[in-house]
Amino acid sequence: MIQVIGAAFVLAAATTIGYAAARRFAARPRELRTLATALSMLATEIKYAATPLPNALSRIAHQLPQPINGLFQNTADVLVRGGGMTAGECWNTVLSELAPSTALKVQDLELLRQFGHTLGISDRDDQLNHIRLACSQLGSQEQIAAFEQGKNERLCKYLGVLAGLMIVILMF
Amino acid sequence: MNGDINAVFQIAGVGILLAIIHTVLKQAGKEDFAHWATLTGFIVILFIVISYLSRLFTEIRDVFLIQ
Repeated sequence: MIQVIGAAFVLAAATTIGYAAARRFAARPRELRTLATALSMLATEIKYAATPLPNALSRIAHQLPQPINGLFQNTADVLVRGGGMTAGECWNTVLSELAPSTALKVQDLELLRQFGHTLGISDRDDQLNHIRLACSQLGSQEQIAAFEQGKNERLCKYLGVLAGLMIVILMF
Repeated sequence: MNGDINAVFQIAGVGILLAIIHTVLKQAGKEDFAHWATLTGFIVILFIVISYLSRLFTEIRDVFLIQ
């Protein structure tokens, strides 16, 4: 009897590991899509309302889901607090501290870091061009991520369950 | 007798699961990973079988009184 319970635990653990890995693959395209939407919202705010950067970032942060809204909100807070850092440095600092809690990969973070360098240093049209460039790059990364997700998500789930079954059979 | 039957079922179960894992991995495009997984499973089963084989050979040697 105890054996059956132990086997069930092992199976549940292996299945959960597989599902957790699958969830990481599924979260990445979604976060990339949210980022692209957020950047286009920023472009709209800059183009039509000429909102200053911290206010625009804060307003956008209220409309976004976790964990992306943390990036914008924290950048807005650091900007408002002052302290002599440029907008790009604030953005990059917040990016570095929030990166582990997102499902983004090194390429996506590098993209965002490059975008951060262009924040707040040029005039309106130039800024809008930079934002548009970042949006299109994020869009292409999202397509790659969606393709990878299609391949890997089901595989991870199945492998988790099958590996658990194999361990259970070997242990009996 | 019962212990030996369990061993046969164990090896059969592992074999079936190994075939499924190989097919799943091959379908997902990771052919080399599939071959590695199959090889690993095969080695595991080999360890189990070798212990039984050694017992078998010892018994044969005792039965036929070979030194």
